[in-house]
Amino acid sequence: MPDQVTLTIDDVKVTVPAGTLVVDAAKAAGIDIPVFCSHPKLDPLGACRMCLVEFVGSRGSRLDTACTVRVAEGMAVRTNTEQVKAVREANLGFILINHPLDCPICDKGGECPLQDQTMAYGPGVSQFVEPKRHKNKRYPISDLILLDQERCILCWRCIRYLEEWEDKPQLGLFERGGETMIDTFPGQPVDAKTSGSIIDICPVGALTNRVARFRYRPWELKKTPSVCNHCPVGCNLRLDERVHALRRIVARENMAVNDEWICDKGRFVHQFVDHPERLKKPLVRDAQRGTLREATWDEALDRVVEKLGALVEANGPNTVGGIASPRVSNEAAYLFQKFFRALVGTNNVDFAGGSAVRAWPTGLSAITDIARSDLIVLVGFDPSEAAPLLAVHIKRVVLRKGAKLLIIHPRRIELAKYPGAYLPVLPGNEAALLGELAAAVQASKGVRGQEARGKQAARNPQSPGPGPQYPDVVALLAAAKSPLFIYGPDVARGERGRATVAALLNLATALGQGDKLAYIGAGANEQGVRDMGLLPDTLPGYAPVSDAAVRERLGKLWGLQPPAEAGQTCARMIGGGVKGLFVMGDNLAALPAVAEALRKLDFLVVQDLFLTETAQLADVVLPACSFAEADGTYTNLERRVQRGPQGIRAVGESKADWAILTALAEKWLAAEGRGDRSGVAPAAAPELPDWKRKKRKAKTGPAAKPWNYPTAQSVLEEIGKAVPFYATMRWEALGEGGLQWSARDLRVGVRDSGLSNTQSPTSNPRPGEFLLVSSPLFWDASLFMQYAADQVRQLIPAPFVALNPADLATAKLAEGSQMTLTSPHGSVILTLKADASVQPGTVWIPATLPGLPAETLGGGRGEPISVVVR
Amino acid sequence: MTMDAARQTPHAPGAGLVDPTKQAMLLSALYLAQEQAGYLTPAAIERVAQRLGLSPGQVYSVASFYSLFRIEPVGRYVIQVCKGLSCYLCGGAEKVADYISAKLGIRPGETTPDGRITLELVECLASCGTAPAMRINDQLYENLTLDAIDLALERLLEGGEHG
Ligand code: SF4
Ligand code: SF4
Ligand code: FES
Ligand code: FES
Repeated sequence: MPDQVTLTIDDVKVTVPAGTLVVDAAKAAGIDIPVFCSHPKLDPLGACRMCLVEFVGSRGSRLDTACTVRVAEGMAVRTNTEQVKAVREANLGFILINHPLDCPICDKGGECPLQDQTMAYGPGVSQFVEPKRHKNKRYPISDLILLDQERCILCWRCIRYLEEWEDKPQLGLFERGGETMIDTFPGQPVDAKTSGSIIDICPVGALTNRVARFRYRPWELKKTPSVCNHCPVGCNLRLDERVHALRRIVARENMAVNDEWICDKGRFVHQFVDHPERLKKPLVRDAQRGTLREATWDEALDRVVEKLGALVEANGPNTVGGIASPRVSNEAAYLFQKFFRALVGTNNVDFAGGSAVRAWPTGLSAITDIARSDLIVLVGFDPSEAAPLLAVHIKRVVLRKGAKLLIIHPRRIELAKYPGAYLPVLPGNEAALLGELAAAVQASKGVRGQEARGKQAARNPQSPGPGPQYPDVVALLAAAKSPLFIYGPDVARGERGRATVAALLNLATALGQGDKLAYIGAGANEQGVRDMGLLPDTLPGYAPVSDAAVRERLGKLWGLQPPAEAGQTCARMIGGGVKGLFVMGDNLAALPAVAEALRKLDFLVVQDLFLTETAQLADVVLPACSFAEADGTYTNLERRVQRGPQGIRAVGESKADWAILTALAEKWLAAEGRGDRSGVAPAAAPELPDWKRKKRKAKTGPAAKPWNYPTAQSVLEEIGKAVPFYATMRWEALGEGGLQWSARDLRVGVRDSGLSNTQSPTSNPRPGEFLLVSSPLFWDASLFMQYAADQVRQLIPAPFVALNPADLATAKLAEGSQMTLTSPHGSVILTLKADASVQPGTVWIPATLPGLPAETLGGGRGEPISVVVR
Repeated sequence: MTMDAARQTPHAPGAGLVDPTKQAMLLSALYLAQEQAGYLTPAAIERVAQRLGLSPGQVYSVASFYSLFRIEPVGRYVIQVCKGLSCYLCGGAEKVADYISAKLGIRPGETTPDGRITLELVECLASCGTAPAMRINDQLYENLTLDAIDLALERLLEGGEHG
């Protein structure tokens, strides 16, 4: 078969790849063929007959569907004949027989293919006098999507999306003939994590978004291309705003990232942006009454400068520090660490889940590499719950290209049902298991392997006897030509995490695939926040703080050099290492133990959207904007720097993180110029004359340069100077698809590759004890979920613990009963659930459930936690 | 133009990971399942789905398409009166159905309160040569007259045997 085929459509000659559908060839020729069921991302079906065109052959012409016929050499197609016009009119007439023509109250009205095509190709008059079919107009197919059965034109797009992309055939056509209806099996609503995609692709207003419906008319919306702020995939989406409210979020195509899908968190969880409880004014703690009261920006920032300054002056800069959220923009993260490094003079900066995790700094080589791989190894990472769009990509390559999955996880995660292998592992034993696998791979390679195995055994003195040989798994690994190795934060924390990552690297290297290792974090901008150096031991661009050359370079840029000794980690700062703390965007105090620790601080500043548990403890609360209200860039898990422009007016007096930090730095510098940070003059006091400031500076030697950032873009420009591989990341250059920085620009020293596994393997739990697994759950109780629309909030599960049914039976425990779980770190009461995906001997309490039960028991610390259930 | 390679080869290896030979057993499996409770209970549908590697929705969609599969409970005896063209011309299915309706006190689609007999109108029973026709469970009744109907119903009400 020739690669290229030339055909004629309405006298236009067009050459397209063989196998192209006529409808796509016509598009290439600039000819519009109306369609309903056909969709560029779905397999051809031919259900609606809208695309009928004439195929001219030697025996005359015949009508056929352009969406199912593939091109052939010399084919002649006509789309503009009288016959084609007549069948289009007739077909639209048929489709409209039972269509309710709700356009004035329909969410789709104004962006509806059925409206558009009826206007363009329809008969213009209705011949239909009989009553229309009446069906349920608000039929819930899930908690998030309502089906209007009258509007549905039975195009099967929704059915096919769930089948072909999600592999969850949950919607079907039921009944027959005039009774045909889209429906779910009773009691089994649609639960695919990207289910909202079917709202976008429905060609009519049959599927409606329960969070957004009736809140807009499409033509009134201001549409801003942005990126998602929920997980590190960084899906491209669009913010639809009207009269200063974020009305809805829809997907935006980016073939390198999310194709044209987003998950249900990205789509439905956005009410936190215009939630009535958003902080609208700064708050300061009233000296007399001890409560928080509203204040002006000047008063609040002066208070921060005064108090932090006093602590620095009295006890030195290392007694204050900052902890940020891995969600914040690159600009915010950069200025945050710069504030502490260049102005305060300390490296005490970290983010929650930052320095504790052994992250591979270059993330995934590329999301599109998933589609090119034949084996994906997932270690302690569950894409379905943590990064749903990755799960969609992975399922696609499994279903369409026969790729295999090797899953190493304490829980039989959803993807474990696909071909490949699932190796259950007790939490903490990942390194040992990976070591055994690497040894087995070496052994299978022959003589050279023998030596390596000896070495491995020596390294692993406590490993219990000769490990199992995993012949199938070794064969799977050996057969892979383009594997990917992905791990997540759950197996990368603490010392065990270091060992696991080292073992994983050994395994990948043993297979000659050392560059295919990828870490995928939890925070939406975790990659960017690391790139910006928001870590106690790492400067912007990953240089260690001990690197004098980089410190000097930064010193030239900032006016002052960062200190040479590493700062305190998040855990140390919380645990009493500092007296003054600045928390940006993270609700650390949701965990009572942390709240207790934060109460002991002399001074706490919190910058956030809401009066969180942490903000309630603060001395000063600074109201920040959400991602939707401020310009900013975000770097996703494949190092793609993407723009998130402002799409809606800032709520109240809230300001962008970077703008708050800039204002704060200006005040700090001004106070420094006056030589008295602690005795800040009232806001109304006149600025000191220039000459006086200069005199001070001259006395105090090198001084920080002024912070001159009128816009987020100007911060990004400076980032380009501070972080070498961001040099080309200018706002305009990023465009709407973002730019990836090249992993080759960062010579990642394989610093730990030889690290031995010094951890003794987790022993099997004793009877009555269970090992805690706290891997994430999609619908959790994270902050944005708590401030989501009611429709979404009801999806937050009541706190539960899941056990293997066999364990429940042995322990004579009943599902649904309330149990007390106790670990060395704490104790919680939870409802018991049976779940076959949970390995015997373990309990699964997902991270971030209401009340943080898993965290209370010590989950997420990187050490195996043994739990007693009573 | 973006062209998704997958759209060009919908049946690539592994597509759907559904076993076509298993899928082909669906109708027979449903038939067997229906014999057990007289109709396809949700549990039966889920069981069939599980055994054939399909989703319950997919099975339900097939089951609801064919009128010979029932997804609602029916009586022990199901009377199917043909409403096809030949029967209509040869005396009228309506007449037959109306007669039975009057006798049993139920309308087509309904079941007697004692749960014994269900009345249905169905498309052609492929017995046009001997129209009008009806079926009681698996037994066909041809060349129907009112007397013949009486006889058949009497046997039913006395608890006589039918297919
Ligand atoms: S609900 Fe929408 S997408 Fe689904 S079949 Fe109906 S018209 Fe098509
Ligand atoms: S997969 Fe991640 S980035 Fe994409 S929409 Fe969902 S939460 Fe947002
Ligand atoms: S678009 Fe071709 S049949 Fe529907
Ligand atoms: S029409 Fe009644 S049997 Fe054919």
